[in-house]
Amino acid sequence: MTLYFTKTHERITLENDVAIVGISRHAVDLLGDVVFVEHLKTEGDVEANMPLAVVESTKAASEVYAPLTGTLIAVNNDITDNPELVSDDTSESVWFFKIKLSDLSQIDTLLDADAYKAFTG
Amino acid sequence: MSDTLKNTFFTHFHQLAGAKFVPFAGYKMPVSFAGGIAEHNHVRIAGNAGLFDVSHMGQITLSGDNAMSEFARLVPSNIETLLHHHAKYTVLMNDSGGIIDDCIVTKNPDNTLFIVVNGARKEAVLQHLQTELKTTIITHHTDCGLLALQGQGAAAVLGQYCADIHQLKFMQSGFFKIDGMMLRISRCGYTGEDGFEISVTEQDAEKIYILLTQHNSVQSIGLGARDTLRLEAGLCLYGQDIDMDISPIQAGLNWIISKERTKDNAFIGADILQKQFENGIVKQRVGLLPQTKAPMRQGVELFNELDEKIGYITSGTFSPTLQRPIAMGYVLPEYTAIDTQIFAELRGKKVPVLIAKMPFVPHHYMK
Repeated sequence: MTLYFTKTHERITLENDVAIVGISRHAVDLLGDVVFVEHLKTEGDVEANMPLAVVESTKAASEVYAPLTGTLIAVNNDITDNPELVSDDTSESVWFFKIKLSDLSQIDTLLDADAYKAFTG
Repeated sequence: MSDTLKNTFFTHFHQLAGAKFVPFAGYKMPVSFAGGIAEHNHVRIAGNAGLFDVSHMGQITLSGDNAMSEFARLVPSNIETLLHHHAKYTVLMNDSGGIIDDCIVTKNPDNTLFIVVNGARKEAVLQHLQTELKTTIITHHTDCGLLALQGQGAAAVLGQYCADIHQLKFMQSGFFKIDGMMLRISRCGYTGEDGFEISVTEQDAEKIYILLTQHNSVQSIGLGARDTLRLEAGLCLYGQDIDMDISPIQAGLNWIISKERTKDNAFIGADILQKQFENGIVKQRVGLLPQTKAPMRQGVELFNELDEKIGYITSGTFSPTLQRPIAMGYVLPEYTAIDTQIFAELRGKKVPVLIAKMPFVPHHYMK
């Protein structure tokens, strides 16, 4: 499955017109042990760059943003109950939320895996 | 990472061990190895020991006939009664009653003093000492590294090389022979566990590092775990929990203050402390237990039930030992009673927090 990324380290896969959003392995490495996840919004319309979740490690707190505009249709509560799932995610499959996109052409604003790799150096 | 950062004697070992580095006090320091929580838990498990490279800290010797009396004028503690080989935790005071740095001072058998200060405060401390100590000779040991071996298994590890180490009690210091090396070893640390700080020159650095890390019970630990360990132990971090504008009374460090020396105006800032003893203080450091799972960190503001601001958090993290968030901060004196409920503002929401006693995790010092 094609992976897309943002400069704020969200990781996106597409299922038809739904963006499944997690955070990149690089972001997990920077964070260290994840100890807390909270969804700031659980439904409704969202705009690109809106903070939708908070993820915290022993070291720091950071936000997870909506990478694209659309409607929030699902949030993953497994990771709020067990935040360590996020740090243990070696297969890049743990997701935070799903957004039904208003316009599929928005995908062009995302980075592909090579561009993201170049961006994170 | 910037090329201007200094390495310690152990940087190449950390690199080989796969450490993640951060710039800290001008040095390239390991923040984690196996992962902060795994490292933290290693240190807390009975029988284990963690090895910390704390070479960024400043090691200073004060010598001369007046070293003790001149140094005593800089600290609020009853330091002139210190016995040979004994050490004390104290603070260097400024004239407004604030703290220039916290440090550990040892009285050597030749009446010189050995002090260990924070890495980020070395220059400020040296400048202060040079200004205030008129006849004392100040020797900054820039040629020495510092290792901390911390955990309930630390004495067993060192004891294999030197049986005499078991005679050293908490807050005592001396020179011990370990595999042919003569090393200054102090029984102290900043994790709440039993442990030792070992001062080494470049010549002995590799040998002692390899000697200690070859033990199965010893693992390298980064600064990340050092922070969660000291917070669980309720210990202050300079620059967060104490600084130039906070007095040791406000910081809850009354146990290091001699009331008699304060009354006698026997040290810098004593007049301010005396006023605080007489008239009370405007804020006090407390332990905090957030009542949800969300960690609360430095800068988070604290409120009473009327939504009036009553304080702020200076350090906070997720405690790996207690599996919950813990924090410390400053509140108005009327909110310091244990179990008082206050509120923290977190992302626009008020979250309940209880005032808690510290340490959050019991100390295991070998007194």
